[in-house]
Amino acid sequence: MTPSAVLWGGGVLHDPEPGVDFEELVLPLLPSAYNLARWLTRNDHDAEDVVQEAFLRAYRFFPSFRGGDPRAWLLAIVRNACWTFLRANRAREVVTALENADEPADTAGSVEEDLVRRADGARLRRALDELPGEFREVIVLRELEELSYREIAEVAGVPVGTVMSRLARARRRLQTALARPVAAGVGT
Amino acid sequence: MSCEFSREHAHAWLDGELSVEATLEAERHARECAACAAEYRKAVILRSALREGGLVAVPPASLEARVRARLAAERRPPWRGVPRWAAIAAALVLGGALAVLLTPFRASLSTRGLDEAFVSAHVRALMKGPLVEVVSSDRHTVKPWFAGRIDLAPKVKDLADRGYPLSGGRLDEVSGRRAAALVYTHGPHEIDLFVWVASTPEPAVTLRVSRGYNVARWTEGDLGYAAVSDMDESELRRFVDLVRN
Repeated sequence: MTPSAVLWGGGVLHDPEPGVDFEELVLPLLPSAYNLARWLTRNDHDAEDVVQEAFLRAYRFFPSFRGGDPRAWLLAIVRNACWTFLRANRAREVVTALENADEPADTAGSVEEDLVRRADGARLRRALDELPGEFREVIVLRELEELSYREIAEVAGVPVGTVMSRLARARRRLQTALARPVAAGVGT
Repeated sequence: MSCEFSREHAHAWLDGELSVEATLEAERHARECAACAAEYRKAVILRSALREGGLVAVPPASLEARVRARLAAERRPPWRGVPRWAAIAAALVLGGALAVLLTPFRASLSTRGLDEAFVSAHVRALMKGPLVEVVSSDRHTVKPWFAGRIDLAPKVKDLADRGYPLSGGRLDEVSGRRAAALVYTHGPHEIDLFVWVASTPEPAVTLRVSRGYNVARWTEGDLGYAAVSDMDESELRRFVDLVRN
């Protein structure tokens, strides 16, 4: 008997029982799934396609879900589906940015802090959109979805230490982008 | 800024990831170290800007209904993936050809186990990764990567212009045997093409459904091939034809 069969009282994939649990446990997480997919694909329609695909996968994988918080489990599948989609459709975007040197973002002045504080939605959105994918995903998972480092590590498939350093670097990049004075003549 | 140690530390502190002792330590440290205090303060400012910026993307109301519809379709028994020979075999059963049946039944049990093993390997790679260890759409990069890693040289075809771009390869283990896995994509679907040293030749393609995945298997010479994907049976057939020819 497989572990999943024990977990689900002998149920197999297409039994009605897990279907009910899936709907109770996983379907309410649709907004989180969409939020992540939208920020990773940066496109509403692509996000909708990817989310549908991810839920189908999640449904198939559900017998192997070992309990615990289903959100990190689902978001890992959504993230995977996003990167698969981007690799297939927008291969140019899947360039790893981690090798790039960090900007020395020690612009500690209060002027910069004020700029960050007063950044409006459009400016924040653009700064986040322009962040490389690896940084964008940790910001979305931590600041918008409020996942713990351990959960982010599970979703992104990297060690907790990597989550910590990536998050620190992602925040610095955002701060630098937001503290950049709005250039005259450039549309905001 | 001189205090390199606490740069990331300040973030872990803000994120509530430090133990009680470490938190107290960080608070004490921040009173003395202006750089760390600034790092912390700036991250706090950034956080409130992000959380109050209305950045959370909200799905359209229709999306849940579409997801539900796809799940409902998935719940229906996947008969459409079953090949015709299965229907003929079923007819034979009804005909009462019991003696004829027993041997193939045993055989199909073991082949089903193999299909299951390929699906497990595919699912494991999709969920836990790595799906690809060598990332390349160039077959001249992927094929040599396997040299020295596994005792076979898989046939690697470039099918990008046919709608099945290569995304890379990895080493995998299926039922205790090492296998080369070539990874192709088709739209949103991932395809694993496993190649291993086969013990018995079965040159004809068999297509089965295991846990909702379509699995196509055949052998060429002494190499066994198995293509696993969640795409439609017809799409997988087309892929297999392209790989074989």
